[in-house]
Amino acid sequence: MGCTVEAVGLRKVYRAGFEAVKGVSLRVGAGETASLMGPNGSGKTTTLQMIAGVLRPTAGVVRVCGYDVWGDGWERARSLVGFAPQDPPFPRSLTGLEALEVLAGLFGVGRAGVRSDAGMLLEELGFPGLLGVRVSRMSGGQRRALTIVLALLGEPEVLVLDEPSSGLDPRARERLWGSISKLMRGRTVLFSTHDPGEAEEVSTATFIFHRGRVAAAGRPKELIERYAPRARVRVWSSSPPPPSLRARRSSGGFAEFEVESERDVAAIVAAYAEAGLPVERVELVRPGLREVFFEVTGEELEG
Amino acid sequence: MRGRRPSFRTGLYAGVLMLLYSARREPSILIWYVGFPLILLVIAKYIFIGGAPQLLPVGFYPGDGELAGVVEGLGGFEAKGYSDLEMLYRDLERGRIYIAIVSRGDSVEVLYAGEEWRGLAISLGEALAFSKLYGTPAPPGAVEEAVKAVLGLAGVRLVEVDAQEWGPGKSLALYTINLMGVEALYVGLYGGMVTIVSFRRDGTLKILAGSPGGARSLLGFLTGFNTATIAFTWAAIIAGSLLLGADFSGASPSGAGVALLLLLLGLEAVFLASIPLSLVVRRDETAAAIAGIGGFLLIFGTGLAVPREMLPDLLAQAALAFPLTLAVELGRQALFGDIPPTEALAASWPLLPILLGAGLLGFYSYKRLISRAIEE
Repeated sequence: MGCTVEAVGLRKVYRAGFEAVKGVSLRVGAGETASLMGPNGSGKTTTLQMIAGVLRPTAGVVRVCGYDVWGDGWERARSLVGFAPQDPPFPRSLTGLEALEVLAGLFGVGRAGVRSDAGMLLEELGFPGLLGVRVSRMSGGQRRALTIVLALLGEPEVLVLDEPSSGLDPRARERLWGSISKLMRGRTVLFSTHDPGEAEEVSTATFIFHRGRVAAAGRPKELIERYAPRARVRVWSSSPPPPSLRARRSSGGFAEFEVESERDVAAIVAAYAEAGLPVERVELVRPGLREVFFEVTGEELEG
Repeated sequence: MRGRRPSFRTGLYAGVLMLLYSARREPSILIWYVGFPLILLVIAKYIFIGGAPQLLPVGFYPGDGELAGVVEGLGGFEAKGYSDLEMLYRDLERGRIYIAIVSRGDSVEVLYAGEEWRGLAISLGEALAFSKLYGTPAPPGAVEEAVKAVLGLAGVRLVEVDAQEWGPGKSLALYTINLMGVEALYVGLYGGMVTIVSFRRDGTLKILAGSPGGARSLLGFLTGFNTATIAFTWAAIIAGSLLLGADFSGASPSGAGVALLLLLLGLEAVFLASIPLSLVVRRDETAAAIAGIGGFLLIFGTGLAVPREMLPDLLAQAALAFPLTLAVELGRQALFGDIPPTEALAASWPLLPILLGAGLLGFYSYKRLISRAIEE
């Protein structure tokens, strides 16, 4: 059960000359849930599209279950992949069921299959009753759920989701991921996100994207241990930190310091007081992928 | 349920479903494919296609003269009396009437507005002369008999033939073929270029292009959508036409079959020829505008909405190069047996090279579209 997804040396240069992906290599084991995490424009969507077989790479190789997506095995490889794009292409005047029947039919899934499975899948994803609602009256999150159902119909071995939880509230997101992991048990999932928290909670492997490249890759916990192992304290102040302290980062009204114990926190606050600098708030930060992103790229992750 | 098998057949079915669902949910579909042709039918009935033949007005001075009865008795004329001679001249000069008869004592003048009316003026003059020889007013039928007698001396006979009643009902039935051509044009344009551009914009084309069998599925979808749409709109046109009094009695079933076949070939030619446009048009709004404006110009310039016989000669001839116009012309002739169906089919040979050219162009463009969809 499950498929390995492998990309080697992927590059994509668009016709205007813009190089969106600059040599990405990644490997996702069978049954894993892998996140491509990074800011907008970092090359996540382009990479996912090349993996899903809907965007031809300028260079590089993609293999799904060992089949070359852009070579001899393309038919077999692409029939194994279900892809949910970021912008759902549903006709807005139709109801959820009608839109699914039309598009799934276009993608080769029979009407009977849609009728038997779509309702169950939507209910599982936490969106019951959506089949009778017109697409134009659905929220962005509901339309995204419909897109995921479209990708799930036909039971793909590999599910590729482009920002699936965008527009969902935290509860709906939790429900969505619980359902996807249940429905795709033993099969492989790749998704893109710009939310480090989501990547950390959901994925078994994370690829941090930055300016068209993979800046770091690994299991979220391993990445955190490797790049941001120590706890941090964030001191919010209207002034820059005193020269006696060495901040890991300083931006947006706060300075961040690595700490090992409570004593370190007290020392930092004391240093501010000694320098006569105001302290508005002190916050203990558990290191996560956001901090990893900063450590490996030197840039803040927006949002 | 496992597996995705996109194919021409699955796409065809999805296309038919799309039309059925859209017609139920989207008022614009009904407006375009039912409302628009019905409006054209109503316009056709009351504007293009007249009722009974109109009588030709002939001016008389004085208005109460006895000669008016002689001219009306000939049939086909309507006497228009004038009490003011100046007004009669003015109406002649302005083209409100073309022939006028003025009595001046014992003499009668037949006035006519231009040489194209000279022949008719001479005939009227002769009729009036015979009437005067009899002594005006002549007894009913006497003028006609006298004219016939004189003509007979020279070996010329006037023979009235029992012509079949044609009438506006038959004209409306013929115009129904024109409207079917109008809708075929719009279905071909919208079901080709506009749908493809819209699919490219929302990403569907990309996903299909990247699926095994996806290109065939999209072709099936377009075929299914177009076929269902044209069947739907043609049914509406024929029903509306019957409701408005179109008279299809005497129509040849095989002629109707040939008309349908030729119209479908014309639709296919437009559909295939519109595909290359989707390579250059990026936005679906632009595509819809091109189809709307282009279609509008074509329906009025190629003898589809405005019958070809109403077009200027040069345009009427040139219009036959347009596949749907040729299909409409031959379909109209085949419908009521003016030409046998086999002859109509044989005369439609120019459709074949047009279809072949459009097919090659469409096929090449479609391949480019599909390959380009996964490049960008």
